[in-house]
Amino acid sequence: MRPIAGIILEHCSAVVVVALALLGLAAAIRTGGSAAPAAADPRIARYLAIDSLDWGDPLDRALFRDALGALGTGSRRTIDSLVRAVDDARLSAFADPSRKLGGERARLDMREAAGLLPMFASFLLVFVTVMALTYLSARALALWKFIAWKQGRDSAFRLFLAVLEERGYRGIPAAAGLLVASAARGILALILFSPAYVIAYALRTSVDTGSLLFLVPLAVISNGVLINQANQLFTLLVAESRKGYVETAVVKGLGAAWDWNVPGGLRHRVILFPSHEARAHVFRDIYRNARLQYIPSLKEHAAFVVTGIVIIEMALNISGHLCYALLRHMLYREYDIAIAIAFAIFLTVKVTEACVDVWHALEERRYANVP
Amino acid sequence: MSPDAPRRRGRVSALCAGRRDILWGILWVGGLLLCRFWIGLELNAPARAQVVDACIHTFWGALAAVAMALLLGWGTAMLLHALESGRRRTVRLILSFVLNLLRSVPQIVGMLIGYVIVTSLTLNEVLASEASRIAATSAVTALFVFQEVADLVTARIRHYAATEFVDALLVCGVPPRVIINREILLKNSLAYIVQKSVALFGRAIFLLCSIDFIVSVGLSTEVSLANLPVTLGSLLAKMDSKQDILAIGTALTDARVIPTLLFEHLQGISVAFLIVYTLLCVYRIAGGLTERYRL
Amino acid sequence: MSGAAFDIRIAAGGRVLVDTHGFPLEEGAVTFLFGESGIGKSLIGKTLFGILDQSEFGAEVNGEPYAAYRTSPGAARARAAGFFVFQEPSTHLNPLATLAEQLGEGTLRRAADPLGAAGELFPGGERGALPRILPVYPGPHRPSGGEKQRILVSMAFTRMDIALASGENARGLYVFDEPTGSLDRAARDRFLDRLFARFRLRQETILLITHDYGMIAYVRSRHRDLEERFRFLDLTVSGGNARARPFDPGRFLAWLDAQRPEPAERSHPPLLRVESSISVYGRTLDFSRPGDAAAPCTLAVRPGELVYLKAGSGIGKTTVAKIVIGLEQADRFRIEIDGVRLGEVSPRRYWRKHLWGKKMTMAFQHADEALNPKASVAAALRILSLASMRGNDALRTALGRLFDAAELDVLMAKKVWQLSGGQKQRLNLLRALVLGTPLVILDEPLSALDFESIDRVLALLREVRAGGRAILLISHNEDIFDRLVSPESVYMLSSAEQSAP
Repeated sequence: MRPIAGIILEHCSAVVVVALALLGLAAAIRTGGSAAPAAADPRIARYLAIDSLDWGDPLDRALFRDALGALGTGSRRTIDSLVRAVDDARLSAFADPSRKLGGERARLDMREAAGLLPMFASFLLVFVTVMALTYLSARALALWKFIAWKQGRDSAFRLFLAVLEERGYRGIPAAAGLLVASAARGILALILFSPAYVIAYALRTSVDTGSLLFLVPLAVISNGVLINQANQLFTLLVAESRKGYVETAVVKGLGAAWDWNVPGGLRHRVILFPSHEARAHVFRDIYRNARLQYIPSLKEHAAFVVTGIVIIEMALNISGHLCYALLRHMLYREYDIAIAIAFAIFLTVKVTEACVDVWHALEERRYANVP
Repeated sequence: MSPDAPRRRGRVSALCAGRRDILWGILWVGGLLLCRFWIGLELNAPARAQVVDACIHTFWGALAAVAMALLLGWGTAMLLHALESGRRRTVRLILSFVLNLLRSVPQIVGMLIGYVIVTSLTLNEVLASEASRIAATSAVTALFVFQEVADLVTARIRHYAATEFVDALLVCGVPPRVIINREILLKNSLAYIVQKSVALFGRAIFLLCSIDFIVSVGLSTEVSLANLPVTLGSLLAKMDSKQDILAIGTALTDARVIPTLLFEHLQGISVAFLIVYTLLCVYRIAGGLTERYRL
Repeated sequence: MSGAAFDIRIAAGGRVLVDTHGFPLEEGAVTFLFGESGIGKSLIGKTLFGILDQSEFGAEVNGEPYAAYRTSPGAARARAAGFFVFQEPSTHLNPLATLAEQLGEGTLRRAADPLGAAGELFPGGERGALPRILPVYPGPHRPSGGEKQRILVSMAFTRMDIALASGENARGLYVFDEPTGSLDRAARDRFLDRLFARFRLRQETILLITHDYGMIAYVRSRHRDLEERFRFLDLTVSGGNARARPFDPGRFLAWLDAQRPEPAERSHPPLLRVESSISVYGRTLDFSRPGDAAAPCTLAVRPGELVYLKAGSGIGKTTVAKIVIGLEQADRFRIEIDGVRLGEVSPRRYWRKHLWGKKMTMAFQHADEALNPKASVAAALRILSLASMRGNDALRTALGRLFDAAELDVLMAKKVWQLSGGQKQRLNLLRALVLGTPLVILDEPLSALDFESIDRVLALLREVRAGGRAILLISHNEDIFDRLVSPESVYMLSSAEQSAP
């Protein structure tokens, strides 16, 4: 059992090490970036000067390749190299800060940092809200699935198949409701597994995909975050339900019926308030033991939530949000600002991990017979 | 339904019970083939070729990422175990520290940084071939998922070390490397490793598609960052595909759009379907394996 | 549930696990059920009690679906008024509730003194172990296996006390599944005394599943008045069917009476010497001769000798064995193996290079854990990489020492997980013995075995000794080994807390 001071020390050390490493990297990039820009490759200058050649048009590019090949300029590798050099020159020009409004590549200074702070605050708000909602939703989903499993309830699709086997095609009208329920469940599964950008782009004309009211639910239900978290807790509940102490509890007369609202059974409130309900039921022991093992997985969950938020903000190009700013600064090679943003995201994850570790240590300590 | 009531289950359902991994594997392959058949009928040849190429590149990339993650994860776990057995606590502490640091980096942010490096190597012609670029992007992905394999291998070793299994073989003169690699991992953990590989395959597809989408969407379409192979994510980021996805949302409010989804908006719908359907099926296959082998 | 014979059929995953006809369970009697581990005794107990997991197993009782039997008035009454003490105490206690809480929850709350029964099984009163462990959350190392087992057993006693106090009409079914596996003889005897004291007041239906044949001697001598209410059964498997046949306790007692110690030749220098004052986990472990606990001595094992190390449960016998074999590190210890002195500074590398599988080996207590479940029986022996074990004939010869010749071909191809507990234990022992090391440490070699197998194992150990090899033995089967081991080869292990400097 790790001491709490040790846990905090480990996480703080990690933050310090990463901070120093990123500071060094930023300093190196600044020094390198202040050198005079490299001169354009003389091989390609004449090709770039051809006005009638549209480098964005695949047909023009193909004709250019064919022309070079016909003129015997070189092997295929040489031509490919030339084309890549052209692309590189165009990209450099595209990212050239002198072409941007303001004229200069932005640097990380107090003004820039002050501009990032509100974005970071918004990011934190979204992160905390999504974490809380995902935790509660995943827990409810896992408990519902677990109790349904203990009740021995088959899925709507399996019941539909059973009806078909019994009655053949004549059973379809009677089982239509089951089929609709199966289809609805299938669509829900597809939504829960969809990457966020698929859902967001599907609804882009209907809703403001930049608002927090859209961003938060999207981060909760997409990217498979919810379903994976729920499945983790469900797996732990199943494993705990098979352990010996549950048998002993059953033999001692604790409630072991899994039906709803029957004597010795469960009430629906247990889905939302598992710690407070079902005190004289084996469910409570199972849940508490599973929950203790589930807590450390929240660290992994935090990293996934952040991944999901980053994907959403970047993919939807939500201006004014931290992750989109990260992408933009990387694109414009303003790496010191990008490093600062990346560090802020890393810090969010690290603080969450430290909190989860401390929480888990405190919970373990309760049951560790420490005098 | 109380435990004393019999379950109503038909023959087909009973056959599928306990074999959900195989069932969803068949459904997945069937879905891919159906999609291939439909786009073969309805999609123009260049677009069809793009979808097929993107699919192949994505799946190969994910497979390569899984293979690298398995190797890296196994190696890391062996190293950690050797350091612990050899009582080299300080070195083990340092290694664990570095691994935990890596774990704290959100996968997508780490992959983004990795992609910057891959792009640079591509532009400098260090990565000249398509295969090398796929391998490089797979390596970047593997770097952020291999620790799940390391954790699994370590957990399996610890599980057996906590029982009399390891000690009983040691005192019979069986070498530790045989105990760990053959007796524990190969003979008693193969199901776990396969299940983890399947889950990582889905994770790799998700990450590769997401990062490709982000990188493609974040830039002007006039300039390509580098000649990275087309994948499902980068294909989805193209304007045509995005328009096709928009049609799904339109279909929710205007039923007249529904019939056109599989004809006029086929490229984007196909790509989105391939990503989402693959992720769902891979998840179900992994879940089926967990259920079948009671992992 | 009236006195009856039960036809029980239990299957899982398409495989029939138990198929027995006419299993007798008489109401108001104590039925001792013997038989090797893993042939279905626990499953039968759970089926009769009504707690078989129907999601995992399909069962029929007397030709009816299990659900019908389970919900029948007789079975439901017997279950409600009874209790089941499970086999593995370490996994049958909730790690997130104190022992005191667990002793008083559910129906046990109705007892006037839920902790009273536990107090009967823990001697020492307020200064004993019980007050120290009641506020404890059970974990892997604390309380000890024996303490956990006594806690579970005391729950059953509390239930009996409730029935006694309330004068319930319905007779309960009480199933005790290996209730003394982790207990030393004194604790086992105390359990039996308290159980039968309650039985005298109220004749519940008791099914006592055990491998401890030594109980027979004790109940015959101390509880002869209840002999009319005792039934002894032996469950054996033949052709895939389990049969419960009456077991003649006289047969075991006669066999026990016939056992004689075979003193070892004491002219050879000891192969193993272990000095007293082993410091480990804040305790000091000392060896002494029986009846002379105040005089620590050096444990010595000579070639051809069977040395029996005894102690109460939880004292540290297995810990000592693991220190000797080099698997555990003590703060201070001194041993001499074949003339080489080793201690706490000796690198583990030395054991691996020079001792393991060459000069010494150990057969562990839990064959389930010690063997690879996915390996075939042949592979379990071939892993030793012995030149002598390469051919199938050599394997058959080795296996034939503890298994019937007729079953060998089938047995060799079977996977370990398909074997019964008794078969696993025999394979576990064989694996250690075929290595031919001069010293073998055996931890509970007779666990999970039936009477016939015990006889075969003991015969094999005699052979091993006759070949000049030494055995260090740890076992709770004191009734058997006290007869077999000569007094000069018996050592006691005691433990004292180290005082703070």
